Amino acid sequence: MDFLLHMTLYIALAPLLSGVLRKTKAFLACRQGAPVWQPYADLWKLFHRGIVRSTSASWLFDLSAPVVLGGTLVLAAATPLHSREVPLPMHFVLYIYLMALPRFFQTLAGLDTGSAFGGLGASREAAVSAMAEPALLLSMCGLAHLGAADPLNMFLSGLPAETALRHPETILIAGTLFLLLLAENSRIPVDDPATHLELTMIHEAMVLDHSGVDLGMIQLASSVRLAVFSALASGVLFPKALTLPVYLALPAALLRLSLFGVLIGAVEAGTARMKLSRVASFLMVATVLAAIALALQYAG
Amino acid sequence: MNTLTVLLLLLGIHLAVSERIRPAIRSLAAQGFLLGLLPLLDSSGGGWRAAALCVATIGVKSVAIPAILTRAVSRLDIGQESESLISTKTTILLTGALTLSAFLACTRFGLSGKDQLAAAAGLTLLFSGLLTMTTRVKAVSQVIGFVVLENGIFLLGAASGSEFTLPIELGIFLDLFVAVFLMGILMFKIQRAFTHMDVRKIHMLKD
Amino acid sequence: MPPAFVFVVAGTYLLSGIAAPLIRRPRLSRVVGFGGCAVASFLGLTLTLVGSLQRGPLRLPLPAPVPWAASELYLDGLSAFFLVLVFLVGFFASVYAVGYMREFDKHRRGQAAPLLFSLLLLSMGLVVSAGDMLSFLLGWEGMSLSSYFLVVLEHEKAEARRAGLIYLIATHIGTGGILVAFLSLEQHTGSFSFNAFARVPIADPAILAATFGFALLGFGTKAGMFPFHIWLPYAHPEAPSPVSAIMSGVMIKMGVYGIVRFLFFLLPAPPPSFGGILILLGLLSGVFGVLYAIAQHDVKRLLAFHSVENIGIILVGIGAASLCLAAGQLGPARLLLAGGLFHSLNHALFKGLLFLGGGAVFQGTHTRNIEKMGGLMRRMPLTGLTFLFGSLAISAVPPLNGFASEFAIYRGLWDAAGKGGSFPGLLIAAMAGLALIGGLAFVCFVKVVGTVFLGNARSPSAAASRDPRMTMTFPMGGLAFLCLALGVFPSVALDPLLNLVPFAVPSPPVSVLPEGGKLAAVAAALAFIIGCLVLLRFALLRRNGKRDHGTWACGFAYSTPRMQYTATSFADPVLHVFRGVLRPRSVREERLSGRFLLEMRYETHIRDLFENGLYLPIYRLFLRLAFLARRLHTGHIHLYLGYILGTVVILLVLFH
Repeated sequence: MDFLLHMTLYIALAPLLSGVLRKTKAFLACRQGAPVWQPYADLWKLFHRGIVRSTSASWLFDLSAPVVLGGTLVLAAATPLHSREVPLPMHFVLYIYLMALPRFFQTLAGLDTGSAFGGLGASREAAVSAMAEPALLLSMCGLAHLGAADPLNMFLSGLPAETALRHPETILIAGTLFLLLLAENSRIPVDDPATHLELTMIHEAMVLDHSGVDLGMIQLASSVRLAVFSALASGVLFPKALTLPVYLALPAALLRLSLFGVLIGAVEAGTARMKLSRVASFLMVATVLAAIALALQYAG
Repeated sequence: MNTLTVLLLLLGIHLAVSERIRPAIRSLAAQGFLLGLLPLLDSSGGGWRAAALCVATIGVKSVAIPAILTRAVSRLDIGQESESLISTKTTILLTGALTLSAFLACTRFGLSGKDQLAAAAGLTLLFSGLLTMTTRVKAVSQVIGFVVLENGIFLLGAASGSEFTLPIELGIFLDLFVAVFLMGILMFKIQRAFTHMDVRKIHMLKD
Repeated sequence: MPPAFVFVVAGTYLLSGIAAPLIRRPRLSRVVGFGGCAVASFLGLTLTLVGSLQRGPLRLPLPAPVPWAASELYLDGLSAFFLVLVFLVGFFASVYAVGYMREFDKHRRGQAAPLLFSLLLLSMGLVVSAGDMLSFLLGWEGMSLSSYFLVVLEHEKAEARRAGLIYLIATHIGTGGILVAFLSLEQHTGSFSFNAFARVPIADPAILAATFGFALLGFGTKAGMFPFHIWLPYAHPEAPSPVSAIMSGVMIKMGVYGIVRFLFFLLPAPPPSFGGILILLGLLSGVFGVLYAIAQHDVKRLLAFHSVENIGIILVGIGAASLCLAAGQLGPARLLLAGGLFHSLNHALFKGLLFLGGGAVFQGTHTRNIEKMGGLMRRMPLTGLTFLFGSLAISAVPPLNGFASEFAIYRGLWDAAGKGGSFPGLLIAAMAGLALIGGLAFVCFVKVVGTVFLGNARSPSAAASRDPRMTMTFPMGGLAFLCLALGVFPSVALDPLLNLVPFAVPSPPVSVLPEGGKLAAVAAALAFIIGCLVLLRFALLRRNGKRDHGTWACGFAYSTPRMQYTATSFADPVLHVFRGVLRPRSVREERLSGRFLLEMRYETHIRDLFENGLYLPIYRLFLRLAFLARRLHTGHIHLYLGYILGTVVILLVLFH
């Protein structure tokens, strides 16, 4: 029951997050923008379309969309959204490495059609995620340290519930996670999800050859992934929201995700995209910040 | 207090790794402002003295020095880039390593809690200021590095628990101000004499 | 394992090995030779697994090779574990070789291969079960020499001869190091037996450090540890694929065995610095191994560089275990050591699998250059599927075995780095390093699978490839199954390993990886959700329909598969970031006619830094010294007599 609620919440709220994000971006650019529920309509449409499959593709291409969505949903099952209890608690190292499973299949699917765009996107995605790995691990170590009491079901369950502002390391970890959110979800300083030139894309170039149901699954997976990272980072900032009773926790979850939608939208509207070769510096900064957060904990 | 220290630390890191001069000056101003708040938050200090120190710090470090630097940058017309002798990636790595070694070193000072944190942050600022002065090409960046270094010493002093004595601090401010002022004038002179601001070429001055 | 069985297994190896060259018909010779190896390995595997259940080590005296020292086999838990490694991979590689070595049928020397192969397996068995220095070195040399001859099996190729030479030199420098280390122990005990060595009282820290240093040189060279790794990427690819699988999967683990035996059984209380050094060397091996692998486009050389990387991961585990032991953290130390050993097993499985798959691809496409492959997933589905499993395992993607053992190492590191730990900085840096290595391995294997198996064929021979025979697909399938099984149920292997090494102090009970069950739960959740989604997709597609169409190319028609993304381009973003350490060299040639560019050639190479930067200068130094020494050699007999006179005088005056 709890499992169903948790998963439904993720699947239902994730597109909303994308919608809020796009609306914010449009608003800040003085545009009308699509309505907030546009992603739902997109998904509805895509799930009613058939697919066009490349003649170069193998069975791996057919398997990729379900694996991408399934792997992401398993990640979601381990990330607290409305309560500290999650259906599938796991160790943080397992959590980080599990992120590789959907990505492995997604990048391979990009290469499977033989399109140069797919390879372009896959290569960049793989490079960015590889360089994000140390930062991700260090920030998770920092989180685990904060909630060291329960190393197995860690994530946010052990976080002290008082306000995060008293603990600078908490803010630092949340900040690092936010940087990683931008990098791992192809958001603006790293990748531009709304660009019109395939040569500059990362994620969108990789999924260029997916269509219909497959594309729907992959878009849903991307939204869920963004929601997972947002839930994580916002959970670090507002640990108290996870201890509320259910009738308050659900609106709180909605609020947190919407807040992050606005935040990411604002960042996207206000920053320019980086040159690809500078992404490494960006991720190195994230690594250094995570290391400092850890050092603060060992020092304090 | 801790949050303030960490913010100072982060600004210091931004100063060390930033590639452009104007954002660095803005960070420097923010750092000066936060440093100014420090004596106010430190409740042990007496009322008016802390207030005066606060005003002086903010006045010099957050208003006057950034103003001089901004003026210098726009008058000298030296462009946005604060060119560095080493790549950005190396700078980031070095800054991270220096920060961690500062934290490591501070465990030996026998301080505890927020003092240890402040000492570590101060030491980090000191290191990163020195790093900036060592690796940056343009003279303006050297001045920035110098001010960061001074901020680090200020923070270290605060951490070591010594009283903020107004006259001494004011004296230091005066020195700093004069130093930056002189450097500003010197930069004009160098610019006029050599038509560039490249510190790498200063060795041409030797006999 | 009763003593008689040892002789049965060894006898089967020897008999089949000797029989093979005597049989005239190449096909029969191949089946008898490698089939015999497979039978012997299977027998040995069963006996070891059954035998290791009983407590207590097995001792078995051997006929002494020299009159002044007794020789014996000594099989404890550690030996049994490494025996399992030898027999397990040996079994699959032997079965595979029955099919693979068919292309050597036309050569007479193809019939020597089974003999060398069985000697290689047998001598590795001797190495891990030797109870004294002499039988150990006998096994060690047998292993080195038989594998050397297998590397130069195709001696008409210049690369094979060069690789063999480099290998021979490296392995003998290593043997020299081991000899010195053993002799140092012998000096303190007056015996050659490992039991006498155990915890020798070496008081002088300098001698202890020197002993460890020589052991590390010796075993590290065999293991392919940074910076002694340079022979490995030359030698491993040149051998036939089943031999590469044995060399990369098992033989380099003999170095790991030696280091573990030395650090945890023989040396008295090694100081924490030994562990620290191992961690650092492990991290360097890992990062450089995987970076060079990314730059590599020869599929077997790439896999060989990945062996360097995985040895790095194993060494991080073992080094951290030693560090924790020295700091008195026994729980994490056990977990780390078990994790390191578990990764040795897992690496043997997935690297064996990948080399076997690489061999199948090589026989199918007749090239080792991955830039000439492509689209093999549709033509070699079984090879592709098993290779995919191996790639997921080596990239440490859960729920496969590569992750399970890295997870154990991570957990040990994290437990040891917790508040109150002794070396949190180093251990957390090791974790971050492992994460980087994992991420880069991911890049590398997406590149390999993507370029080799996906897309369209880049050469006619790749377009004509097909799956190999049953004898070759069965071992790949078996290894892939083991990779999955150990990934989902890691405690099968991890629990025995946790009790393997008797630490001097009785350690507090470790909660055996509580996530053992969790990995299975995650695997089940993945299987369930993905299964549901596959069904959903199937149902939706039946309703909505699907059609096949050529890949969209911006409105143009795809003319040639060369327009696909290449492995070089794929690797470029990562290599660009690390160009500071890799120092690629590029050559650019242009042919102009007036102002027009007629032809342009661009090449970029990434060479091993240590080969050019470290070993080449040493080699030149020796060459120069040799030229100096040649001046002594004038040809005048009187001068030689003078040398003798001088030597005698100096000896008598100085050393008497």
